[in-house]
Amino acid sequence: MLVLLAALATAAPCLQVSGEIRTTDGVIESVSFDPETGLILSTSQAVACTAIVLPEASQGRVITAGFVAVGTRTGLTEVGAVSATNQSDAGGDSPIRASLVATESYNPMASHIAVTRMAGVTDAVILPGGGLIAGQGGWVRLTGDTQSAAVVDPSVVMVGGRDEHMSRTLRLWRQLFDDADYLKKNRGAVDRGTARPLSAHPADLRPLWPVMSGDQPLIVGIDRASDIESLLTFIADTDLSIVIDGGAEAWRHADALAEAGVAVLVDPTVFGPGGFDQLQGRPDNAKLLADAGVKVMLGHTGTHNARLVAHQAGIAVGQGLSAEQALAAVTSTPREVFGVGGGALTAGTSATFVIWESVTSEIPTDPFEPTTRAVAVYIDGVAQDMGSRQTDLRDRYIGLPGSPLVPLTPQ
Amino acid sequence: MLKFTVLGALLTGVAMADEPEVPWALAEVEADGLRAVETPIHWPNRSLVISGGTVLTAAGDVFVPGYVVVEGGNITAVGEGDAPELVDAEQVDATGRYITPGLIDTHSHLGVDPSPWARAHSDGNEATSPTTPGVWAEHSFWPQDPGLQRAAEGGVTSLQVLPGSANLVGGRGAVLHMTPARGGRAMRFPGAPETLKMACGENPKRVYENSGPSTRMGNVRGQRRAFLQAAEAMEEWEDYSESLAEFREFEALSDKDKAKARRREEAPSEPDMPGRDLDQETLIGLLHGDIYAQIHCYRADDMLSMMQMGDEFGFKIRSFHHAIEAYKIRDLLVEHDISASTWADWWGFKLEAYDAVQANAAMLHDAGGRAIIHSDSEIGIQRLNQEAAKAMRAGIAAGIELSTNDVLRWVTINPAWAMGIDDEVGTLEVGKRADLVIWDAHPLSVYAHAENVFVDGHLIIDREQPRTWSDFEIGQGVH
Repeated sequence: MLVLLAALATAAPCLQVSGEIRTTDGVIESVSFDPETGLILSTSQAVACTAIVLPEASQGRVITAGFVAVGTRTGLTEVGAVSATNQSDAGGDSPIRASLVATESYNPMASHIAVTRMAGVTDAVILPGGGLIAGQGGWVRLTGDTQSAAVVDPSVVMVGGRDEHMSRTLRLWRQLFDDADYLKKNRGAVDRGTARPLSAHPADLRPLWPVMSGDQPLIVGIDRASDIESLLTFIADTDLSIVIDGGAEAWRHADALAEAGVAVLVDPTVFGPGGFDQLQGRPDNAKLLADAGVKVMLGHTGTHNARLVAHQAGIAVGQGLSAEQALAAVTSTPREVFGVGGGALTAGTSATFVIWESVTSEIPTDPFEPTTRAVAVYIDGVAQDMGSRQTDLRDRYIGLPGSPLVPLTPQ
Repeated sequence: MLKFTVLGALLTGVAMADEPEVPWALAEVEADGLRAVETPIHWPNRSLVISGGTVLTAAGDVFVPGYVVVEGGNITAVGEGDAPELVDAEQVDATGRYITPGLIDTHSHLGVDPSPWARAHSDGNEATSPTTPGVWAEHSFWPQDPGLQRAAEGGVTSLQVLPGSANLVGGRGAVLHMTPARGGRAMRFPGAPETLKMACGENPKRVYENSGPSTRMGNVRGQRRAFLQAAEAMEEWEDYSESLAEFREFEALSDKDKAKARRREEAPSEPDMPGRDLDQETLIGLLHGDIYAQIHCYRADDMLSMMQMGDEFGFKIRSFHHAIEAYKIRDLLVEHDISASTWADWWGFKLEAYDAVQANAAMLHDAGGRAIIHSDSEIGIQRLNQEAAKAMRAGIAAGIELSTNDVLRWVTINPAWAMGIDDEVGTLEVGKRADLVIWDAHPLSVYAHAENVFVDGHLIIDREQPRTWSDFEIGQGVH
């Protein structure tokens, strides 16, 4: 914030960050942006802008676009096991909840948001859970005190829950899509009350139309190769646009997934026998998929640790994914898959970026290294507060021993 | 105070310092329960000279380049520069690589809640009663858990497998050495003390909500009751030990002296052994100092309750596990010489994990305490080095000075201390077991792989010679 004020005081038309800026298109040396609009003006060093001021660096610095955490409950919970704080699952309601919009439960004051942001994660795709159709997932920006400031798009994906059996899941989908189609063609009958019985309230069928036309992706959690094969066969006769959440054994159908345009949200820590549906999981799953041309995203960090996106990327790179593929997986690919755009630090896109620095001279600065930390986070051109409830608690106790509640001095 | 370990007493008969003549009768009785069917195979030890790489000893020294010499399964030399010549030794050129002690995890459920998940072999929680000190993790341990190989591939050479945290007193842990065998017993770390898992806070009161305990105060009452009973039972065993010692002394006399004693009516009769009770025996072992307490506890005030109970009944707590709020009471943990086994960043999944700070381990370390990064996870145990690196990052961000050696200790010698095996492993020092890892990059880097892992000088993992440990994974079309 101080940085920003300083910049305005000198009436600089724009701000510039320079250094080793890693993008999915290679390394560039500077990004200039308009702090008013939050948009990048140029990636040419020639542009005259006020350099943003940062504390002196003891190690080399690297700059990247902000990372995206995909598939979290960010803002939908405060404490996992405290049910009163959880609004991610409509529970015993109808299993078809397509009209549920997760961002309507988004609490921008949830304490994990700052925790996540200060680790270099600037955006999240938050998903509701439960049921056969859990509802609509949205894109949120991890800043701002209000929903209107944070929610970029309340509906970027439909979340398909699944039954334990793939065959049963697909049967239910057939019925559901058939009903949604019937509704589309028989609106009058439905309004008049003369329609056939439907598997869900019309309000919960209508949001399936853009899914059926392929305008909105449908995300589904699935691991086993044979289930993925069934899914591929199923969608061949449809316009569905699918995102696989998990896909432990997806590498076995890498070419077919690429061909069908199916994106996969990979958990690089899957090690095979963690579950019976993951027996053929491989550590290099992400690499094999990306090499085949599949759109790969990285995640499965959970909500409170959505900050681990960078670590997940590092793990994937350690298992064969290239650094460039990994960077795309946590920046531009989610934006492409969910239709939000940006993430590549190009002119005209949002100045949302992170400045990284290693804490040790023994290991070079690299955003994916557990020894590298985010020293500054900019979202839409605005420097973010680098504190959280966790750092506040830390600072409350760091000067002790003893209780922090020492007697007050009378005034 | 720790008087002597069960195994130590069995092997040597060494008696406690304050009662020099009286052998502890319970230890003799326990020997039957600890006898092995499958004994570890003692493979012939080849001598080994590893040189050229960066040797991170975790004992303060960093040798660049350094060497480690292994003979008879133990480290016989470690230092900087050219390695001493050793005839017939296998030479390992570690140029450009890093050598560290094998990593050690104080908190694992491998084998007792194994992969793949299935109720059929999820045997970590005997959640039928809140107090089950008589169960042993060893008896649930499935040595075919595929997670064991993954942990070894991550550089882990010793681990403590614990019962879950459903119970106030969950049962005995198993301190294991990464020596694959057909049963857990043959994997026991030789000479390691027995350990006991206890739990406080949310888990027990949630699991037993209907039958009790359903509150934290109920939790503590349950534990204190158990220790009150055990203290009484321990007295019986103490009396018995003394009487037995007297009787044996008499039995050893010559016939003439025996007769003399009988005439004086000083001949002791053989004492009756107290009734066996597996639950009591474990608790007595703890009170007697033979068994190390390992307590699952998140909140600072819960840990203080446990420390008070330890003081009340006279037992030592070796490590608080999870210990999310250790940073709040780090002065008291240091004072009581209790380690904290924690994560780098897990938090928020329940209310008692809400006040986590990533600098937790670093703050305890900075106060002079014993910080440990544990896994509690079949995933985390594969990357303990990276978890430690994240905890280091948070510490340095908080302004705490930390070296690689400091941080390495969080996953080597400190966990070894918590499990009572720090004289044997945890650092690269002469005389210790040759449990070590050769990494292809700095061990705190996310890109480092454990290329070679040695246990007792035996190569158990070689990235160039992949193989499958678990029978479960045979014939599954994997690899």
